[in-house]
Amino acid sequence: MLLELIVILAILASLYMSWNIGANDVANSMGTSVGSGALTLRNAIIIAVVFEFLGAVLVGKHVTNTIAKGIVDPTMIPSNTLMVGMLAALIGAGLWVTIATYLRLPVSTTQSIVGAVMGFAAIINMELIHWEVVGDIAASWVVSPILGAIMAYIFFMIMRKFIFSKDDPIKEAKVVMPFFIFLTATLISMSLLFKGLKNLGMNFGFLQSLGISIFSGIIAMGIGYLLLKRYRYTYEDGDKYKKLEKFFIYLQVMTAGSVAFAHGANDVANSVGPLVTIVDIYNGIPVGEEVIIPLWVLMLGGFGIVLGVSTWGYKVIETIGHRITEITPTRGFAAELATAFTVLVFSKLGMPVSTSQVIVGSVMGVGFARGIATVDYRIVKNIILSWVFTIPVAMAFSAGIFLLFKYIFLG
Amino acid sequence: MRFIRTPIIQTLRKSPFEALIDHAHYVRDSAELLRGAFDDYLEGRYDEFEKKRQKIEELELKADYIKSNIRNHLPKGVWMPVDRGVFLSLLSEMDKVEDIIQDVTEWLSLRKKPVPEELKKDFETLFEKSLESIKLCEDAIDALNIVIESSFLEKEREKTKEIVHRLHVVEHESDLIERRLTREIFSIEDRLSAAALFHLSKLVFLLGELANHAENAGDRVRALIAR
Repeated sequence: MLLELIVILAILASLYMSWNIGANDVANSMGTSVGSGALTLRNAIIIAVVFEFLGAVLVGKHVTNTIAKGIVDPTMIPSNTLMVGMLAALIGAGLWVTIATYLRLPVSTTQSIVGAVMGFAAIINMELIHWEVVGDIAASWVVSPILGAIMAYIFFMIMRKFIFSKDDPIKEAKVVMPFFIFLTATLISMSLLFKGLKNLGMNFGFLQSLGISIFSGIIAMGIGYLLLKRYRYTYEDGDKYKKLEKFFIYLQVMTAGSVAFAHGANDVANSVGPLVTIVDIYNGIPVGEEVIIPLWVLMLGGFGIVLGVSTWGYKVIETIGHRITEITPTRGFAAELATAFTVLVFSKLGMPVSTSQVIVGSVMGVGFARGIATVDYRIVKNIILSWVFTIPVAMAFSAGIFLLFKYIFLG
Repeated sequence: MRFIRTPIIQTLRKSPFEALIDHAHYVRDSAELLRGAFDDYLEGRYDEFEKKRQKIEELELKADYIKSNIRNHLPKGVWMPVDRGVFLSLLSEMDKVEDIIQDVTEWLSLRKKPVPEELKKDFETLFEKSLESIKLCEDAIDALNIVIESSFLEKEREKTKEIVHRLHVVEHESDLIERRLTREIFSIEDRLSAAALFHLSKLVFLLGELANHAENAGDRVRALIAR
């Protein structure tokens, strides 16, 4: 009976955490598209919902694995204690994220959950924490925004050289953009296929996956080329770049979807990672090298995110959309594509990164390429501050709740 | 709004370039009004003149508001693809142009008397040149914005430099007319009252200043797009 209660509490806490992820972070992918008028709020929500869910369910397991068993050694903890601990981590992280959101601190759910999982483990025994994994994760928090910045810089410079500088930039964009579509489609299908669809009984090797991915990339490129070809435009005096921006509005829909997909793939773990451990123990599956991630748990995470998007996310998107018009569609395209690529790659590596922070890095990358009129670099200080705060605070919350629950549940 | 913690919102700010363009539009509109106001003044339609002066005053207030807004929203730590200091001094030059337009109408309204027939034509040309330099200023700022939109493409920078160059030419022409007109005024000093002499010669001086500050603004634009 007690076990059931823990599982139910964990499901609720996990749902709340996913709700929070959907409510706040989804604006990262959709804010710019709504702001630039590429998408209506309604369509943005639909795209976000679909791609977040797909990302979570189809690619979400890698990071989930890391949260569930990578940070602490689950084999060294009695399973009842582990269950209570993971429940405490979920509730602690959720509590901190709620407080931080209320205070408008730019904290990351990823960093909160990582801190929270470390928190209860630290109470049991410091040595249970896999410090080398924690070190990798911490490094990924530094590397991922920088990688986002570098990619965004490169993407924007390519666009500048091959599109902006031409006399008829839209004509060139119609040729160059299918190449970007190819890259995006290939990467997404690669993330799905390679070590991806075991759940569905498909297991492709590296080369096999690559082959299929490139093939689907080429098909996407062809479709993209034909669609873009139909775009009609005329320039008037001095509005070449403005017309180009208009053209990019449609392409931004693609990148926004990709970011939503990558976000779902990475961030679903923040809510379902601890739940997976709890459910596995409940089902009597020994927690060892491999955790079994039931599909329904990922779907629950996806569902929570969708719930967050549709109940609160739209307000955040709207608010951001109004203020974000500064990032025009071409700049948004470069920044979002860089974000999607970065987050997706880290997801496949099982590294829980913060999508919000990667997109900030990417926007700065475009800024370095002199693409944006004003970038407020003070955000970097705020983000670093939020890291410094989040880890110990989330640890403390989780540890406190763990002690309380241990007393209640385990006596 | 509470319950938002998305860092991207703190990263981006409204472009000060858009606001700069709005400011330049107000300056241009004021300059056009000034041109019309002077015609009214010459023809002795002082009521019409006063109406235009009123409008210029309103425009000046609006431009001033934009200026303060830009200044307040560019704290240190905000990165721009151009030099922040030069950007602010461009804004301040444009604001001086607007101030001087207002000064000219103010100065005209102090003394509503006919202008000697033989000076009318040169005065009209001088007003025309001032207006032209201000229009070029606006063009230069529009071009600057295109440089930003294009993320500093060489050819867009060239176009901007071209406009600034024309601005220099116009300022020089304005200078020549200014000198000639001052001489003409003093050549008929016997026929003019001391008040008229002072009024007309300072008017010429103010118009010269208009073109000077327009030229300064152009130089700032050029400095902004320099690598």
